[in-house]
Amino acid sequence: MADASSMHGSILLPALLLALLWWTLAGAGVGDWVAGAIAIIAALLVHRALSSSAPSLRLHPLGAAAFIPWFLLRAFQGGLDVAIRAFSPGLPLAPATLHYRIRLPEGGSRTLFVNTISLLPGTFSADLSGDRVTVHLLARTEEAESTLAELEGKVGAIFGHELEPKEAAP
Amino acid sequence: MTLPPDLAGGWLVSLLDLGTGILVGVGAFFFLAGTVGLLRFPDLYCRLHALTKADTLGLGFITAGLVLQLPGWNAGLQLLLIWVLALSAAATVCHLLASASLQAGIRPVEGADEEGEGP
Repeated sequence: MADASSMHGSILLPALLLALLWWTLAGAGVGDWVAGAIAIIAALLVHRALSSSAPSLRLHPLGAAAFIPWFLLRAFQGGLDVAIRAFSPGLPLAPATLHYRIRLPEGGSRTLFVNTISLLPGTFSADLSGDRVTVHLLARTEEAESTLAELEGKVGAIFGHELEPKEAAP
Repeated sequence: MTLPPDLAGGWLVSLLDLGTGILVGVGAFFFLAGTVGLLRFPDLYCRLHALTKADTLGLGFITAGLVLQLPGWNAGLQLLLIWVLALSAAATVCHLLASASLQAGIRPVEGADEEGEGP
């Protein structure tokens, strides 16, 4: 990974995202862009000042692009799963909790992981202490743990983290 | 809704209206499912599943349905942005409620469907 290109990317991508956000909120009038340019530059300066102290949030576009459709499909399955259970006369639930050891490092990736657990089918993150997240399951399934590991891998790919293979929970 | 005269009755508008009707209908179904889950599920933790997942999905479908009626891309992106914010709010609030309840000593109901296993 070349240093120059990653330096470039660290300004260009946030600038593009901020410009998109500005256009979304304010529209595309010429006068709007004068104010927009000032706001974007100010935001980039604040971003720079803050990111020197915080761990860097460098996103990998390919990882993010792969994550979004996967996440939408899972969110759909999650909603459908709840709907089927809610409407079933027998109320087929088997609630359970499990503990999952997070492999992602502290920071944005971990936050995203813990938050997206709550939108996967049948799971939400109920508690977080250290690197252990308590996950509540609507119905205990065999694959819950491997689904979490899959999600963790996908979140890691957005941030460019390589994860060690999952071992048995200690 | 009122249509511009040159488009009124055009097949594209009818198609968009049909799409909006279907998407908003599906969204309403998921909101209903979330509410039924809220009423029927046995404890706070299970009810959180109903609220976070079904309602968020319902809002997503309603958002998608409304986007079809909007004049431009940036109004659509505004709605999308609102959905993403609502989605992260739902996940965050769910986590906060659950962790506060666990710390307050409210124990989750354990499964009845299959053989219960020890922790």
